[in-house]
Amino acid sequence: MEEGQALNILFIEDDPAHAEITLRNFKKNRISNHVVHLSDGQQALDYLFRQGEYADPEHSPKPDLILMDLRLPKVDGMEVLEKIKADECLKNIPTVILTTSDAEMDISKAYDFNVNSYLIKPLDLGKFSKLIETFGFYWVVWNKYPHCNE
Amino acid sequence: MDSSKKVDGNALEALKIEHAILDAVINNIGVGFVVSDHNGHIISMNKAAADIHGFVSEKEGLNHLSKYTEEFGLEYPEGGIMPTEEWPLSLALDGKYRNNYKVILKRYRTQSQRIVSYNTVPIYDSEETLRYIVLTMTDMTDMEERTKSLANERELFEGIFNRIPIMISIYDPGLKNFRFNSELKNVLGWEESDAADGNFMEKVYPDPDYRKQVAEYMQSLESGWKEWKATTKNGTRVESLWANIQLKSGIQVGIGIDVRKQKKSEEKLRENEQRLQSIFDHAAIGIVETDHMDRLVRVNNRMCEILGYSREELLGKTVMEITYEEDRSKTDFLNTSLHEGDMTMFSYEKRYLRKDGSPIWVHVSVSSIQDERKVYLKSIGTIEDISERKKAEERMLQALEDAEESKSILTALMEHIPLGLAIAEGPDIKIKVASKYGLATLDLPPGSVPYYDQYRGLGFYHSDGLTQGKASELPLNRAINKREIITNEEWMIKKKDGSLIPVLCNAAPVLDNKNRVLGGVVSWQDITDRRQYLKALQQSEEKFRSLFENIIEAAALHEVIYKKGKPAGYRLIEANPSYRDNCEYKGKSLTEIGPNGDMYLAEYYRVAETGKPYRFEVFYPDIRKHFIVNVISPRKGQFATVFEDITDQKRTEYEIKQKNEELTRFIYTVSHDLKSPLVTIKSFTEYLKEDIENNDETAQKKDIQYIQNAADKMGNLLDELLQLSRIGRKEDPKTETQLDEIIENASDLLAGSISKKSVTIQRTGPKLMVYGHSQRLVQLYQNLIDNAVKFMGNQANPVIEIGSIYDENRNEPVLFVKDNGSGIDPRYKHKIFGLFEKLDTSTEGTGIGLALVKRIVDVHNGSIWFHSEGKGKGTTFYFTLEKTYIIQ
Repeated sequence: MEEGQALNILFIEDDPAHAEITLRNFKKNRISNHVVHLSDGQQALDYLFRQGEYADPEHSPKPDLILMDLRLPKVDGMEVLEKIKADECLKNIPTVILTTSDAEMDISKAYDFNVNSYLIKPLDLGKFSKLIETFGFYWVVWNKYPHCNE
Repeated sequence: MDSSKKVDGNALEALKIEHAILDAVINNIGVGFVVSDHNGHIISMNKAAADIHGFVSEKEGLNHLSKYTEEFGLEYPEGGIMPTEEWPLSLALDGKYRNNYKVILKRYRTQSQRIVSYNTVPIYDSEETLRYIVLTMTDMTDMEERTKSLANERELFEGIFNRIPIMISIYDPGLKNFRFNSELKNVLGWEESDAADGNFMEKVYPDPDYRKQVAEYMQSLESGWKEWKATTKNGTRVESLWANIQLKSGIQVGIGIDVRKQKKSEEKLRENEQRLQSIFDHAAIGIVETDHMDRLVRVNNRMCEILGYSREELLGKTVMEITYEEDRSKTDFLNTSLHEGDMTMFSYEKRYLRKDGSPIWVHVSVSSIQDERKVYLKSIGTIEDISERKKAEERMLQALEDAEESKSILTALMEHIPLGLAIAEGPDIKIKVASKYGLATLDLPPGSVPYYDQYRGLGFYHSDGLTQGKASELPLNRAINKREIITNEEWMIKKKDGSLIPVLCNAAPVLDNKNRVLGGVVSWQDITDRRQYLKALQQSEEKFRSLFENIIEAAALHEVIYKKGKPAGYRLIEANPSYRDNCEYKGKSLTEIGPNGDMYLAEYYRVAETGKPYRFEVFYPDIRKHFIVNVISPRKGQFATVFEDITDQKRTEYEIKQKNEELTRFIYTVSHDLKSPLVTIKSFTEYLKEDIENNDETAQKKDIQYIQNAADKMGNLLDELLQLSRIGRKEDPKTETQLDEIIENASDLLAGSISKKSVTIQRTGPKLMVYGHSQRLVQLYQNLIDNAVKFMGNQANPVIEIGSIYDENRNEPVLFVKDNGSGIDPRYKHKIFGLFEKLDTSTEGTGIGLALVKRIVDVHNGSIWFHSEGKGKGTTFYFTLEKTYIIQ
């Protein structure tokens, strides 16, 4: 791993097994950034819009990158994406979808809401690992972020 | 005269000169001298004396003296022959001398006579002895005649003076006297005696100022007439015109005219004139006056109207200029005759040329006016616009031509028309003409005129073909005698061979413009073919009728009601049984209760108008039915609506659509939710391998747990998906079951989890009977109760109430399952019935439960909804099922 940037990553995933796989791969690929893991759509919105249990900005720093699943309980991932991209303050945060759904309907809808990248979870662990590695290189190493003036 | 008595040489010489002078004087003065001796013998006469006697010279006179008394005679001036003793010389010889002795000297031979005034003078010598007598003769003839004529003139003057209807006053300033004539005396009443006192002016003109004006006028001797108001003797004032004349002698003559009469007649004249002018101006006919050059000098308004010119434009134009070119020579000929006096009036029809260049027909009457010597002065013409009459005439001509044409058309028509046609005249029904075709149907030769017996008519039989029509029943008789108009009446004609052909008769009377019957016309048409056609039509109609009556589609025929040529509504003419059974709702036809009022009305009208069919699909919410409506027009002004009930088809379509959506969702779900555990299983199997290699037992256990969970999840999912797919597919038949039975079964299946969470189940409401697949209904309750148990949250006293309420609006019982658990956040309510929707990841379940519930309710034609006050306040699911009813 090249020199990484000190990024805050918001990771939204309801399936604990999938979360485990993803986080393990983060570790494996030495993505040692600050990762916040949330497991439903409502929590994600509360965190991003600083409401409910995340009302205190101290405990909810603005993420530099969002990695999220689409099928989320309570509030659907697509709805969360829509809200992020409709918000003046949040819309510039690169948001990457990581889901098992390869339905054309989901892909086109996500892009309609200006998703930055759409990734499908591979069945094969080796491929999963490779994907997270590439993701890490691309978004954490190479990608440049706007200056956050919070 | 002493000197004359002396005779000496010088004196003689002087005397001689004197004598010569005397001779010259005597011979050259206009007074005749005759000298006689004392015996009465004439010894000399001068030239003037010879002239008076009518002699050429003195010498001739002296030669005639011997026969003087034979040649000449004297008469008294007052008449009568003067005896010779009375003659001037005789008197003078007798010593009686006369001065101005007037006689008439007559020369018999020439019968000429002169009035002569004689003077006789004796001449004595120195011894006082009479020696000579000198007679002077003055010819008075002219003077006498002048005097006589003067007297005549005077008489005439007096006569005129007193009889003329003009007032005359004569004033002699020398004598200061007046003379008035009778007219003046009559008009003014004044006599000369009234003027004798010298104040006459004051009497006639009492007003001093006025009098002064009059006096000034009289003295000015202005020529011409001036009007004055003279006062009469009885004090009235007379308007009179006066002229003043001053004679050389200073005598003043006043000539006056009493203008009262004149004025009256003038007024009368003016009135007449005005009346004439007005008549002239406003006459309904044009009046024109032309001068000797045929120029228009006077035109009236009508004349201007006829010609379209203004008066100013018309005056000065010649008759030729306003005459239409083709009529100029005729006009010229007539006008010339008028000028030359060949005729004094004529009238004829001609065309004038209007200002706009168009000709106009007029009737002109012209009279010439001549002076007393029969010289042409001018003409007066009256002009009448006869263009309308001419047009009428032209129309008449045209009509005549048309009539000719009609006649030839009629002939052609009769020759070729494929219709029996006969035209009859008069009340006796005399057939004038008949068509060739018609004759053929009656077995008559072409060109003949059928004999029509008005009592028996033509060989027409009633449509039964048995009885011959009575004359009074026959169409032509009825048309002529009863003025009936017969339309499409069926008759039969019996042919020679005894066969009968059916005919359709039409007949009508022929009326003149005064509505009198001139005759009638009858037509007959062989309808053998038509009958066959009608029969075919009838059969087809029957077929159609049978089809119409028996088709499943609801069909109705309507007629459009037109008002002022526009569609204003329609009425139902006919409906087939299917329509009556299926398409009437609350006494109204489907066509009438169409959605959105008259949405399709315009289309119906268009179809009725154009015949172009129209087709649309429509849903009637009132009867919850879908139809395809075909609108066709069997004839203009009518439209038929054919309703094809596609409700079932629609429902199927809807269900298929729903199922398709479900299927899409299912596939989608499979691709995500079944893939998820697979991802887990595959990944952790890899981790498990690694951990076995690394001999990490803790990690191995954890890996296996993940794999197991994922596999279980997959198993449950597949189970439930299988269940869901079965609903509405292969099912036992629907039956009626008591609701309590179903609830009991469901509760038994969940007994474990109910007792584990110490949930109390309460059964409320009346006993109900439900209808459906009982196993599904058990599943429905099982899922709802299970759901309620799962979401009890931290409720210390969990209660589930199962019951029903009666909904008056729906008119059916509404079933419910109510809990006092964690409730549903209203934010997620739209996700409740979705497949695989789980609101809480912390609870068990696949997310299929409520989707299953909804599916079961759908299959039982019910609906489901829920109510929750919010998080922690419990949830109630309400639903209905078809054919549920209270049994107690």
